Amino acid sequence: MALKLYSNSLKPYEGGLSKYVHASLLVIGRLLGKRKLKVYEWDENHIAIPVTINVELPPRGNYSGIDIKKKEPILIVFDINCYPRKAPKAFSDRLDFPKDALSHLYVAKDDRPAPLCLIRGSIDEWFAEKEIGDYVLQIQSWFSDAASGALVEDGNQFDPIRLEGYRGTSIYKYKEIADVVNSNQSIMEGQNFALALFLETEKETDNSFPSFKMMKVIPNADEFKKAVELLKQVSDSKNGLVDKNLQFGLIVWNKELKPTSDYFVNLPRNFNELIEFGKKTNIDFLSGLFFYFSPHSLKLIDNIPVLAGIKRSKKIIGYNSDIEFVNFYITVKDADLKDGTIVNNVPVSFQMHNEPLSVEKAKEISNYDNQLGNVLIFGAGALGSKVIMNFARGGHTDITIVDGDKLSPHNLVRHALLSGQIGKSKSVAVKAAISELYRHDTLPNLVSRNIDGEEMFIGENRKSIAQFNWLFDFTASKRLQNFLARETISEPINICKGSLMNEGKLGVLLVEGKNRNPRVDDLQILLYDLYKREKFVSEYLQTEFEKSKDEKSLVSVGVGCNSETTILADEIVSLHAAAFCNVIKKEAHRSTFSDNGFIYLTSITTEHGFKVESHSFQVSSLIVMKCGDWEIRFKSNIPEILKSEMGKALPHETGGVFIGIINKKTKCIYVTDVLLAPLDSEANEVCFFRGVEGLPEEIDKIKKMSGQTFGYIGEWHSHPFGPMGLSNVDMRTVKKFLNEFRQLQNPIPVFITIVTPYGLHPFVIE
Amino acid sequence: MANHYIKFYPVENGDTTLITLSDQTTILIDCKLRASAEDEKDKEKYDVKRDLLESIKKRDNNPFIDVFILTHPDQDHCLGFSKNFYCGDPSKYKKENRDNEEIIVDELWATSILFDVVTNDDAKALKKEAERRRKLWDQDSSEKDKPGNRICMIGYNGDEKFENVEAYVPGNTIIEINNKVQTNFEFFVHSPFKKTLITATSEKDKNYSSIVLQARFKINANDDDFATFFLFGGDADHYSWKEVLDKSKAHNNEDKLKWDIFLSPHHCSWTYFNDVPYDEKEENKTPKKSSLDILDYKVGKGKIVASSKVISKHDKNPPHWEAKQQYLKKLDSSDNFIELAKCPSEDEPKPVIFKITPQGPVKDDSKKQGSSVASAGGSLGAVKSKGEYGSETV
Repeated sequence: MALKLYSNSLKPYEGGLSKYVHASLLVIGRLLGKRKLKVYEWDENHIAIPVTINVELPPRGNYSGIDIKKKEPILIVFDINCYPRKAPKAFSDRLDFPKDALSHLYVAKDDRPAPLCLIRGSIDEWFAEKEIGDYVLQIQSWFSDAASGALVEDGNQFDPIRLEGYRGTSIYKYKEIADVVNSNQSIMEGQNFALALFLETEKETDNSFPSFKMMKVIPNADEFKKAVELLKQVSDSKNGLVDKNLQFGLIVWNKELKPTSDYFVNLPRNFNELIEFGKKTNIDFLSGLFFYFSPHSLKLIDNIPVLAGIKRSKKIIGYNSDIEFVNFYITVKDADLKDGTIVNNVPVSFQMHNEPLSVEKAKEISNYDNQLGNVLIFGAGALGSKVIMNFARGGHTDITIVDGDKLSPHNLVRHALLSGQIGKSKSVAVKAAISELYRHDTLPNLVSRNIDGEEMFIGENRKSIAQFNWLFDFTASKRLQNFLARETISEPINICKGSLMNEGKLGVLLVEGKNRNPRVDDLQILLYDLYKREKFVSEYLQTEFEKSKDEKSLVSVGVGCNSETTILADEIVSLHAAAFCNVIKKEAHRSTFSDNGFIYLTSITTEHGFKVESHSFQVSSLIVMKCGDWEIRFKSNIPEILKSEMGKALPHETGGVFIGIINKKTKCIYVTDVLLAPLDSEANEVCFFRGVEGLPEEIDKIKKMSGQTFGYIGEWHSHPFGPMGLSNVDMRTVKKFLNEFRQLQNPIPVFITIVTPYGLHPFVIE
Repeated sequence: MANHYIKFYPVENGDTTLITLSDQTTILIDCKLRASAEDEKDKEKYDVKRDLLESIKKRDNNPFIDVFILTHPDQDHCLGFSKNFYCGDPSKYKKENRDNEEIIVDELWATSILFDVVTNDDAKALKKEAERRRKLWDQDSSEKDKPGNRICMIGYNGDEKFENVEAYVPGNTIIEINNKVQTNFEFFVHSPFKKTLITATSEKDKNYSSIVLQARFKINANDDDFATFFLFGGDADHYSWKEVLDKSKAHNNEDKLKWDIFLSPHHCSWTYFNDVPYDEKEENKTPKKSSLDILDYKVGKGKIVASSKVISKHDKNPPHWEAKQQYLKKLDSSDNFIELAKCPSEDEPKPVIFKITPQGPVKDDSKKQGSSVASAGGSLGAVKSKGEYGSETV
């Protein structure tokens, strides 16, 4: 018997065809062995081409006996104006096509056949890289898959109804609503409906369709009483809730939760059809709606969300329960109501569902596996806020945000937050933003502290440090850096500092070594020490020195972004923040540098076009010695050089000078280099007369190349046969030096180290 | 969710079958990798190596397959192995191996006959490689468990030499593929039997001691039923198959004989049905009941694949015209007898791919889709043949 075809109702198309459509029709004809194809009018912008395709049927018989034939008549519908930018649509031409049994059909529009859902995602995007022949192959595969039960992505799960032509979005946590349905938590005993409070989010936009974000489920009578109380409080004009665009909605489900596997590709478009749909699905819409309108009249705005839960035989793909929700909204004006009943055939629309963002989802879609543990972040300014939000958007929310500052208007130029937060504490505002991202999740380890970083080490706060795996300092505060340098932190916490230098051209991330050696302050010094091998470091230090002359200030070692005078574009901060975040995540277990310290740099140059480069360096632990209040921090290779020189000069003494930096505030001397005995030096077994030949020139060169950062800081000489202390001769020199050094514009202490076979013996005399 | 696929390559008389499981595990059963098509005239030689490289995964930028199953060491089942597959310590895989696109075999499955009777160069290379891997077991080296070093014997001949090596024997079910337990796929081992491995000492005995396996596919791990059975046995002859049938019946394993796809043994040879030469004795012309009985374990409509040259009435065995007729008798439609040499055309055969669906294996054409962005490779006929151009008017 001949099949009844939808195309029999279509009129032949008599208009013109674009060359693209024409060429594609030739290909289809050639592929399917038809010399001439019929062309029908689908609507004013579309033509329909009826063709018959061969289907490879499965050898074990069709899945569930579904009626798919070896030859299937189909319609390929082209948009005559937008093809090939818009992909064609494919429909079964059979009026008796078993559409209720198939998942991969879109909901039908305007009494037409249901379109085939050929691929996951956007068909137009897919078609942008394919040709019409591929499209026909895809249709053949679709039928073949439909016949063999392979359309379903996972046979153990239920493939939900494909929605097309939806109007707006319903946003709710599926599990929350499914729990209500599965436990049959009806507002009224013996019934199958519950209430929920929604926020209409499109009211103030140009969008003509509403979207509903679920705020709260009202699953039982107690909660309902509270809701009605709330309603009464604003009942005079209902303005309170209307102004906020709030609306009560209904959740209804099928009686006795009997599973059905039918697909409903003809979803209701009006109230009468909705009631019919209820009969098919065993869902009692009327009781729920009667309760809704009478006696309480819960309607606040005209569009009423109604979520209909259909019990399926298997868990729904992508969800954790077997309830599939079809999300309707009914548009009911006051004139459509009489005695608590809808009296007119009002419009019904359906919506797509979006799950509110959860931490788990964020982790999944950003492919982030939290390895960092609980983190403590100092500074929620431009850089800190961006790194924090990068973490948070990736689903890492075990963050304690510490910042004592408030958000000022000028901060908005470079901050992750927006104007609604002005005047608020930065830490509190950033925490609130993250909480809002995941408003349905509990985030027990997301904490804000409206204090400065140092205060975390005082009193009760101090005890909490042990709970953190990482401490990040994004403050660019030298005060905090000095504090951290001197503070004894014995907890096994990874300490890391991120800052921007050179007007944002350089991003610097410093990670301390094991047992805080090297420390952040060491790493900062050793970063500058790279001037010898990295031109950009030398150039940076020299530029900073030149600038410092103008500004009458010392070399700046970090740009604070909080200053109104800091010239720095938002995208530069974002670029560095993104790089830092990625490095931090990758190095959660210190895989690259293990117990060593680590310096990561991102350098941006714009002179010859925009260019970004990154560099990283491992730093071994320093040799640290104490002398009174002073701490001497030798770069790791220096003690070996000194011992070696002593050995070479034996039996005579030898010596030279130290290059480095002295921080009088933290009482740290950083020794980064050694200069050996100048050529005119003289020595015997008990004396060493350090010469000068070439020495001033050498030191000046270092000063110049390092932008005056590194220079002379002290002296060393060997006592190959002892003593381990300063000799009388040594003391005379110390006194001489002291007299000179105290007169300097920027005085320094006298620092002398004796090298003996037993080790180094540093002395600092002020 | 990904599907399982079985891909049969057109290699004339020979076998090259790639199983790709839903978790992307790749199992290659035999190989016949000839030099690729040299010019336009030779385009019926499909570039199997190129296709294979595009179908398998890479690890650290090096192509690899999870398992290579050598049903038996005949040349038409291992041709090109030494040139195209990496032999040796996987940690020594170098740039030149990568440049040659040598494929690492994570786990090698073979029978003990590989160590006894080998004559061709590729089989010798395989023997050497298998020997290298076997020795790691003797030394109880931890290296033996690493990808590229694993070996597994199918069938056991009682030789002490293989005592230490992991082995599966007829009656076993294999669910661990390349150190990973599969939940929706397994092999059932039918053959080779111990006694045939012991007695197989000559070249012609190799077919008798061929590996015979049933591959069993499920869509989901917790499905009760298998969605597809694929029965194959290299060049196993009717004696072997009779033994397979008898043993399966005796051990209540008849379900292990089921097939949705049956790879006609020995390239659609008459040896599956009876002794050869076909014309030598009248009695040779009657198919053995046991061979016909096995074909009755067909599930659904069934597909029989002939991995051979085009089957002609006048050609010498294999392939064999009468064998094809016997197969056709067991099928509802000639569409279900698939001659790889003719798919889609004799002029330019291409691989035949089956997608495993809940309703059995379905020929999958969607993999043949192209892209709107394209450029041709050096193997293009137009590139390899001379182009003539001129401005002279003829």
